[in-house]
Amino acid sequence: MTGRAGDRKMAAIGHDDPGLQPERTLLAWRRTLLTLIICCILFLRWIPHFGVWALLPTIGALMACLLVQIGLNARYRKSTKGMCVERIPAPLREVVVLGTTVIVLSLIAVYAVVFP
Amino acid sequence: MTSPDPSKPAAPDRQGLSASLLGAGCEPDPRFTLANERTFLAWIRTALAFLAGGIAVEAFTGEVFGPDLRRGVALTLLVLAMLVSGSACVRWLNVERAMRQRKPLPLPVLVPILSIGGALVAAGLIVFLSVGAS
Repeated sequence: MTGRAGDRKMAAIGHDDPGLQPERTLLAWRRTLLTLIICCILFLRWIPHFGVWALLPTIGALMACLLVQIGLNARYRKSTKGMCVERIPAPLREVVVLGTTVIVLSLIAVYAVVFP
Repeated sequence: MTSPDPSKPAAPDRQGLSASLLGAGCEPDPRFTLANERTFLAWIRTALAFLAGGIAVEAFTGEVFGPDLRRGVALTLLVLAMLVSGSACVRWLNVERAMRQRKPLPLPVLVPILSIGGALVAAGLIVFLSVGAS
């Protein structure tokens, strides 16, 4: 069973893990993305100081959220399938995107604090 | 939970950056991969809490702290956010590699960073409260 149709069929079948690991992981991603969205909104407090430039980190981080969110459904399908075939690909892209986003946001916040 | 099977074949479908970063080895148990992923996400949420805390201190404590202390606490929290986020990525990668090569998991460097950073912020606040009370 290969390809997208195969993935969907596997996901529809589900998995036999009583620990519900794919569901817990999916929810962990969703919690993290929600937290990131809230942090993005906090950057709007610098609009009076930097004008429209203060929108850039918010927009950039929201786009990163969207990128990760789009991949989450496919990730869940892979996780469900992986529980059946005992192999799950490592989420390298998502980890790099999320980690880089948080570091860049922190750097921008440091700049805004030091040079208000 | 089943333990990883050492006889499991190496992943044939890893390519490019993924192959070079994750290195050689056998695919770990999928439960361990997902657990590592959730631990990484928990650290990222910790970093985001530091980030939000840093911005909040800078934005909303203007009438409580002096400018220097406010800036110091905010910068400490923001630098901690950066360190925790970067270390979370590195630790995720190291744990993933260790699992693939059946090696012991590396010790977390994040814990001492977090302890020292938290202690610094707490010490700053104690000094502020002591000076303010006297």
